[in-house]
Amino acid sequence: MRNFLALIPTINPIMTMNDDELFNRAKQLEPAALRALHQRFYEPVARYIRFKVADGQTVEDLSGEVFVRVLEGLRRGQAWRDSPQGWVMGIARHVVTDHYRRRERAVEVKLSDELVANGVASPPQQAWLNERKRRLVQAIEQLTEEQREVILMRFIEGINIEGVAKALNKTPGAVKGLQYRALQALAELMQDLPMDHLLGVEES
Amino acid sequence: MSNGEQNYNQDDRLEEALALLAAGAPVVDILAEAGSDRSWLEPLLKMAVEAGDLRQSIPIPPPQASLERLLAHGAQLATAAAPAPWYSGLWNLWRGNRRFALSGSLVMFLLSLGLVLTFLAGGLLGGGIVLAAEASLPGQPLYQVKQLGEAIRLAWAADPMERAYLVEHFNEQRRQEIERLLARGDRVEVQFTGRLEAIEAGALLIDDLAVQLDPQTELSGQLQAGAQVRIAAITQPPDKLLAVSVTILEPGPPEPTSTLTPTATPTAPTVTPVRGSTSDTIQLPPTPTPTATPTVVEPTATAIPTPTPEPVIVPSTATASPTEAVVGPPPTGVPDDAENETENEHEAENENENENENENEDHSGSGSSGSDDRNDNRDDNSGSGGSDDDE
Repeated sequence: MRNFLALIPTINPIMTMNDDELFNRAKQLEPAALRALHQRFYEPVARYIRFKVADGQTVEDLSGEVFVRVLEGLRRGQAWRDSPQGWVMGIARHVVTDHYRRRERAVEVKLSDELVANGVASPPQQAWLNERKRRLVQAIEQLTEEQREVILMRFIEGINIEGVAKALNKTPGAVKGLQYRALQALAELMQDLPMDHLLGVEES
Repeated sequence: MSNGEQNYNQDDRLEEALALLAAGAPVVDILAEAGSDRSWLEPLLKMAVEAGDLRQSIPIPPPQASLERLLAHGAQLATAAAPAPWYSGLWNLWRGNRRFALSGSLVMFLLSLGLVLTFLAGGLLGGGIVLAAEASLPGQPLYQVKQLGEAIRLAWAADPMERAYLVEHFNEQRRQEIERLLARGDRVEVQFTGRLEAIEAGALLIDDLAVQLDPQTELSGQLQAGAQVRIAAITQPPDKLLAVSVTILEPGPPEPTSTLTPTATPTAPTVTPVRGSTSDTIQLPPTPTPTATPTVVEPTATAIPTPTPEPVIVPSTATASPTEAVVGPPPTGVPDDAENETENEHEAENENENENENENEDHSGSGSSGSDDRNDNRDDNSGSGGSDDDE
């Protein structure tokens, strides 16, 4: 009976609560809330940092730094309510900025060299997808700083306009303009390798 | 329509399409309804989708290290936020933890407050003890505090008049203490000094206080009306006081016939009151007194070889050997006023007066009496004042 009960998956309610409640409980330093907070935001934070920082160890360190600052910000009562995700990503952006201020842009490993495509494509198709992703990352890296921030937060992490505006300390209208120009710039940079070419190669 | 307005409209149009895309609408459907915007909207929507697909391809490190760091920081904050125990400040001070020791300023404040309160409490306690000692009676624990206080007050009394007043005041207190002891029914040994007013059968009247004598009473010196005596006695309720010892501090006044002769007769110089010789010879066999007070026999010139008309009581139980007798030491224990009184009473005897003056000079040089101490104090004060002036 005991073993049977152990097999029933337990649902931790703290993992399903909304951001406001989670932040409030994390502010009270509840370890469970801190775990849930970390679980909810670690991947976006680490991905964002990974897009900007060379090695995995540094990504690990800076990610930890981001969450320490998040907790301190919660304790100080910083304004996060209008967009918790944007607030966290804004902290991640500051952490990365501080990192580069300290390191003066050390040797950096390009993310485009490490990308591994996922999926169930055939080997030639997979090779082309990998190349496409590498070129896309290169194109993102060629954008302006603000355009790159918008691409990372708005499309890779799926944060809404208000959240990105909070992270970048801009108005939503300004972010709309940024995302338009960023997508337009990417489309121009990627036009020599259109997605349709994938189908043509595959068909040929 | 300007380019700015067109861009603004395209920004909003793109955002509308992206919102549909985020809601799960297929790109084909969005573009089918885009109308004239399809030409510029299609590449942008495809780039948004393709950028979103990058999410699964970006490698990130495992979250354990970051999570542990967050939890550790949370635990540290929780510890710092917890109300510190009252001893934490002291503990941190002991450990040399300056960061938290500084935050323990409340502890330092409380320590300071405690110190002040301790001093206040000490002062109040001390004052309470002194007050309680003032009301204490012989045989009670605080009575020694009372005696010490009286000794200090006497030592600090610089003025001879003040000193005489204090002596009288303390003697009055002794009498009141005896009356209270008798009223309480306590049997306690008491000591006091006073002037012997009358000698009756089996009793002495000392400053209106009757002291009973019995064969066990130790007498030192010759009892004589007017003599200054020190009495050690035991209270005998309800109203008696039994003398343990009677010590003559100062003999009584001489005969009027001998004192009222300004023109001294030839017989007067024959009296040679050499200190420690003739005056002692007329004393009764001395007996050791049970008190620590030095028995002083005043070698004044008033000693008359002829028997006095006063009744003389010779204790029959004096068993002490003569070697224990107090034989004529320098009268250092005699109060100054008493000496002056003696001098006034015997102004006619010039030789003796000169001798007394010489003795006083000797005492001031020896520094062994209370008055000498006062003189020393004055010298010290003046010396310090001089040094202050020099500074």
